[in-house]
Amino acid sequence: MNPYSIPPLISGLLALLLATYMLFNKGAGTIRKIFFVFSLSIFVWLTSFSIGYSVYDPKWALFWFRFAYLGVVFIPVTSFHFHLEFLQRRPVRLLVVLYAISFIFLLLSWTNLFFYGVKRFFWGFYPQASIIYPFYLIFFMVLVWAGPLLCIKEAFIKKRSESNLSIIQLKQLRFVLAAFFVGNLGSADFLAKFGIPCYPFGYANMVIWFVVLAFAINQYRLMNVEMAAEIAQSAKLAALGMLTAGINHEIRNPLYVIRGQAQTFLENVKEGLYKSNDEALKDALRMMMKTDEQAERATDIIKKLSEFARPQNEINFKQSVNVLGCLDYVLELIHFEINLDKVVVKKNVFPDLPPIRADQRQVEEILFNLLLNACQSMALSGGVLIISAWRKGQSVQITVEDTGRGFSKEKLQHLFDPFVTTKVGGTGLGLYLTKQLVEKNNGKIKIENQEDGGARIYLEFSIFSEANPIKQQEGII
Amino acid sequence: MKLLMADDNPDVIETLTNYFSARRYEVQSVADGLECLSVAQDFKPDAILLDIKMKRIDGDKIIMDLLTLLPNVKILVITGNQDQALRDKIFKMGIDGYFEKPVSLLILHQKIREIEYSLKTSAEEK
Repeated sequence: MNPYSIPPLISGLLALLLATYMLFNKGAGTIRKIFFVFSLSIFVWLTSFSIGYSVYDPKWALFWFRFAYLGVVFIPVTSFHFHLEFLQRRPVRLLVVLYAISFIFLLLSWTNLFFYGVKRFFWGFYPQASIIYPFYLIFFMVLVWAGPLLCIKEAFIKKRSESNLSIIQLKQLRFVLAAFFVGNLGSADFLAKFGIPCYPFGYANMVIWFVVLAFAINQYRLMNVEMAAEIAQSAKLAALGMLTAGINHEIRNPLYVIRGQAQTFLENVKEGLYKSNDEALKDALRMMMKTDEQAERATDIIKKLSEFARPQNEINFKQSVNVLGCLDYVLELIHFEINLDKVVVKKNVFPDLPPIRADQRQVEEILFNLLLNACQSMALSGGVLIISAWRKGQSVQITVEDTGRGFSKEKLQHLFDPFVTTKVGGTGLGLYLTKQLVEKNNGKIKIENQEDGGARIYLEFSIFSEANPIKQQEGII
Repeated sequence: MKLLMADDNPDVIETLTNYFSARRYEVQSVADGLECLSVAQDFKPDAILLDIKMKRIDGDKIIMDLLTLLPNVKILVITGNQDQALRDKIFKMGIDGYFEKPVSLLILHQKIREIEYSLKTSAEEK
């Protein structure tokens, strides 16, 4: 076996391995499927070329190089498709045309118009370009560059607010671009196809491209929307999990009372403490009422929590939402935490506050995250939580102020970045997801430190009015 | 025998008070740590049923003060939380019992009877 054929063979097998791993690991979103086809094309290219280098008969070499093009012709279009999917753009018609062109090139690659034959170099045979090949090369270059150029536009030229990519995806974009520039050096392979004896080292660049892309996809695990929704849900449950100490306390008390009432009656009867049946009956009535009331209390707590924990199926950003109602609901939900942390709550809500246009459940979730965060920043030492809401022009402004530790300067800059946390057991996704929720509801959020310590959060939402429809956004989270 | 109940939940207090006062114990109750310290000083209970999480000052914060104030007092901690670290910490302070809600009143009563018995025997010895 020709030693020059070993590196492309290994690279090809690596591509196949990685592709399969990506396809079966952590759910198969569209982007992973495209990545799989892209990798498969590279696998076919590299392994077939490896065989082509090793055979002794030029006819068989040409056959294997042509066979390789079964994969190669789809590299540009799948690479382009991958970048488009990454940018969440789906121009279906364009893609159909591009895949069709690739297919035509595939048919042509079996004719002498594409490769007229092979030439022997020091590393083995290599196919030689014919009339059609330069057209394919142009097609290849245009598509392979188009994807990353669109990404550069999205990441560096477009305004942040216009982009539909999240911060996390912009971070991934850096990997995607870096990977591309390294990988693209691999296309220098074409030199040998015009008879220039330049060893086709493209497989090495391909491997680097590949590993970085796979890393980018896996690192953040947020490549597809379904997963983002799943993560949002688990972050919500993690936030609820932080309430457990309070919930535990709050559910054990009614149980304690229920058990105590029942035992008291039973023991009283057993020990003959009741002088008459009337007295026993009177006591029993009072105790049963108490028991019933306590059972209702415990049920109420469980009901509220499970209702909040349930994933949201329907989202309607056009609802008329009463801010005070949401606030009271959330305060009730976290009142155990408020009590445990010894926090005093002050509410300054403007009377006749108009409703806002948003999704009610999501507004509750936003307030839940922010209020819980504020309470926890004051945990144990106690403090004051001031929530104010008022009308300003066509918007409702809400502020949440606490007397906790506030945020350090570095933390303030990265508050909304994913995986940034200041608390033990935090997921680092709370504020990141909260910001996403606020923006999906056409709101704004800002956090700053107060002059005398503690943090202040500003929220702004549009007023609900039938006459003033607002730009609609679609989303799953 | 004098019992002091400390719990910030009025329903819990009512249940405990009803049970123990019907069994001829002298019972007083408080709703938070600060109140517990001041009432303990005047009331001089033989045993205290102490909740941990309370308004103003938590139960675990006053155990040492209670023991300084009344060196012979028996403290039974009754808590709504499962917190192993806190449990270990409290045990080292020299308490006489640690129970998780919803603890059976019969078990509490049994424990109090034991305390009552030991108080009686030590008084007789004197």
